[in-house]
Amino acid sequence: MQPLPSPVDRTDPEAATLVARARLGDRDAFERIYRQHVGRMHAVCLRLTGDTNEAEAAVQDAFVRAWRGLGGFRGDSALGTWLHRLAVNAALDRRREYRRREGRHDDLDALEDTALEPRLRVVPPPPGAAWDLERAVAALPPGARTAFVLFEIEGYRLHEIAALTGTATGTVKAQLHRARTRLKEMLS
Amino acid sequence: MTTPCARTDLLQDLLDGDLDASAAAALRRHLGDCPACATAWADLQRLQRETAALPHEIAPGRDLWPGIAERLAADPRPADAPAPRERSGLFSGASSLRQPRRALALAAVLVVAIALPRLMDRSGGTADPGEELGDGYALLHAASKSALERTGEDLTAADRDELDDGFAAIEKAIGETRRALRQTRRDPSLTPGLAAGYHRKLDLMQRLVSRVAQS
Repeated sequence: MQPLPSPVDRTDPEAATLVARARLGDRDAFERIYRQHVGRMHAVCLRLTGDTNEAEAAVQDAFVRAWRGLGGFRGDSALGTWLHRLAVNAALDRRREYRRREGRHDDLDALEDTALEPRLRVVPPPPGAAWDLERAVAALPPGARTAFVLFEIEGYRLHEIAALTGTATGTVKAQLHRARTRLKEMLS
Repeated sequence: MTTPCARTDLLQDLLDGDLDASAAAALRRHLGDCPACATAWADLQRLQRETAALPHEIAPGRDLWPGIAERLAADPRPADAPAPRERSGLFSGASSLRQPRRALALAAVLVVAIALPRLMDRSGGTADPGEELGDGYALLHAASKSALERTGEDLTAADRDELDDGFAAIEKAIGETRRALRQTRRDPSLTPGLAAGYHRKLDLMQRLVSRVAQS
């Protein structure tokens, strides 16, 4: 399964034009790219971090990285896919940084962990969304949440998640199974 | 309450297609005879359906662009970008600009001259002096740039190149200072350096507008 297709891909001439203009330093063009992609990037950051402030910071980090990296973007992947990957990395980096500051090593390998970091807040319900499931996903242990969000919601493959998180594929699979088991318990 | 079944653990492998054909067929047959596995399988499928129905886009609670734009101010052009055919600096495309409006340019200089000292005074003692200074700077920068664009066509190409290089160097210094501020948890001792960077750029703009306006 591939990450979900972006509403703007490399075959979209408008997207190609915006990228070309942004690469030359046109911030208006880059703002339009932001407007087109921010919802999807924010959604994945929100679910990965489980915190509105951290999610917003991660989205901003991702767009700043995109701006700096536009010169190296060759269009081999769709713009939306590239931005989505930046958002995932930014969200994971945010969590690593948070845990480093707290003196806790990253937990992606750990099967047992606290449900939520003490500072993190429960994700608010997006308008019209399935609130119970969003709450349940936010309450998963971080490693299980990462595996579930990236595999089940975002369509990444297990080995891709393993590469993103620096863990073994088997560990990701175990986290995914754990997430589903927890969610079944919470939703039933 | 149904009796637990050891084969329930295999259901996720079935869901993911990780079982070979014969094992999958055997487990499917088992579902017809085992209430525990049948319930667990129904729950897994329900979870998968509900997950698929989640929205893939969630708008943030506030517009994040202003914060991004501020951070981009430290990077005038994306790194490693191919060299543009035309300069991407302040005066790119100046030949298509309207006729100079010197009175307006002078008015902008006055606005900047009045506002900058107030901005510098206000930047002390705040929770994030760099951020506040940056916000104020962005407003003044926009006013000055607008005035400069109106007068830019009076400049020679060499003047434009020189000014673009000057602005790029100052932007770089501002960016480095802002990064240092972030990394040192807003060390207040760095704020004067940041303010000096902003001041240099605004000063350059003011001198340019004055020069053109008086020519």
